[in-house]
Amino acid sequence: MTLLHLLQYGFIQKAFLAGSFVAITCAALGMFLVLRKMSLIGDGLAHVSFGAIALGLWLGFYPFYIAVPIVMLSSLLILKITTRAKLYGDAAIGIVSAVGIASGVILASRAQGFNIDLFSYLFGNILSISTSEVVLSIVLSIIVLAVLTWFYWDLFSATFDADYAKTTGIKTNFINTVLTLLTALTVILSVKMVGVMLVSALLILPAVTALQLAKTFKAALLYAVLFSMLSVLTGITASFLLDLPTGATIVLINAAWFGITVLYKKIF
Amino acid sequence: MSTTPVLSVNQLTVRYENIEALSNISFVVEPGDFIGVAGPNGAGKTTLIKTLLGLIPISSGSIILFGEPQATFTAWHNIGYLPQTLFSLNPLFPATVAEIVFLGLLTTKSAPRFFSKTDRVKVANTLDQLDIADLKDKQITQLSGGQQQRVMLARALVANPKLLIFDEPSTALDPASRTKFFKLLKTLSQQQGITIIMITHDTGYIGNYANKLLYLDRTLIHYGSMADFCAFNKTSAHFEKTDQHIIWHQHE
Repeated sequence: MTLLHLLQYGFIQKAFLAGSFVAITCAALGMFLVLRKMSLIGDGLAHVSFGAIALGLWLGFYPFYIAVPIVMLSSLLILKITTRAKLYGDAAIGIVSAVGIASGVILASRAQGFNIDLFSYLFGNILSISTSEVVLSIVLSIIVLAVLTWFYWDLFSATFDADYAKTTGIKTNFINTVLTLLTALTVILSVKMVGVMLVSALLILPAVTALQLAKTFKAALLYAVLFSMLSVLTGITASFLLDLPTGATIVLINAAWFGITVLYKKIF
Repeated sequence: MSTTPVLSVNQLTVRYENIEALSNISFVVEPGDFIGVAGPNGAGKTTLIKTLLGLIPISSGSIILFGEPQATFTAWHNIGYLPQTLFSLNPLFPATVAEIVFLGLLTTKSAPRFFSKTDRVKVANTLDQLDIADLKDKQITQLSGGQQQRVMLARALVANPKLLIFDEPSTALDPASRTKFFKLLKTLSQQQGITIIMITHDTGYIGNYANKLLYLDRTLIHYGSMADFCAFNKTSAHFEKTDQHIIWHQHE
């Protein structure tokens, strides 16, 4: 089967379209998160989204409508816990993540018939994405990318040296809040594609792969976007042709690129 | 040259929870001063400069920058800051020297911050001035400690500041690079009239370059010339209490 044959399927077209936008968003955002040692925030917020999706299903709402505000509020809670309780970010992420997943498990234990729906979010399936979800993914991705572009130099400066950034008038607390809220939105977008368990891989792997090769910040962002899109598109294709789970295939292809670039750097 | 003091610190006290990190400190910095800030570990040197830069809140007292209270001061482009070396930087951080120096111009812009052709010329000129134009496209993490320090100095200088504040800039430098670095600062201070405040542990060395020494030990022990510092009764009494000795000699 050729790529053209594959593109005749409506569900593949939708998966490619939504997947490309989510790939670009995750790669760009992931670069800032990795360099700020916040890689695991994606994992923590994905766990929260599990609880939020369970709540949505339990209440009989479209799960994303419940997940968006809950995950965004949780992202702010992580920041608050970090500053108020004077904890490192990883501990704050651990607390919020555990509460999220525990809430999901309790709701699932009380479930009446939504367990199958809920568990489909654990591993995701971009091949079953609906037209409205494609539109939502594109709109939210454009919002995230527009905000990242608007605050590009502020984010770069605060990532490189937060204290120095403050002395140049950059409101670093505001920038942290923006970054965390964008991460929350991106995590929710990615859950449908790769599932709760694998979301953080979409944020981390393209960024760490790009860091093996890039010398400039703009090049790093470009490489991350390229590796991310390549992994998503080949992952969707391979999973369809080989009858493999899509999310896991995308993640393993991402991981393979990381391995190849590390080897390339060692050899050359 | 303007006669308005660059900086006036009046009865400044800074507390972290119940600990008084700085107590009742007052001093005035005049245009063109080159001030070495010294004191033992934990004396509050970094706290002092971070408070001057607005990174740490004032508990009581006041700071006046270029005649303007710090709370309402907006002309931050007049102040260049060079922090300690980049020990915690990710070794793969993908930033070139030029990208880092551009960060020094952010203070002159508001979001969305983008750079113009004029900004690119300013960056190129600053790199030229510090003899690091050939490093422009190099990754910052691939440079030696001395080269990184010059890049950070370029970032601090690119917006043409009137006051430069340094936090132990010579820590990562070997003796030859350190001498070169201090000579460069002295030239900047003398030729461009830039005021310099520099934290240093090297009180013997700073005496060759600074015209004033500010010695701290949570409170102000001395503010004045190096010669006065050695002769002053109050400093002698302080060092007798702490079992330290003053050793300073000037090289020609």
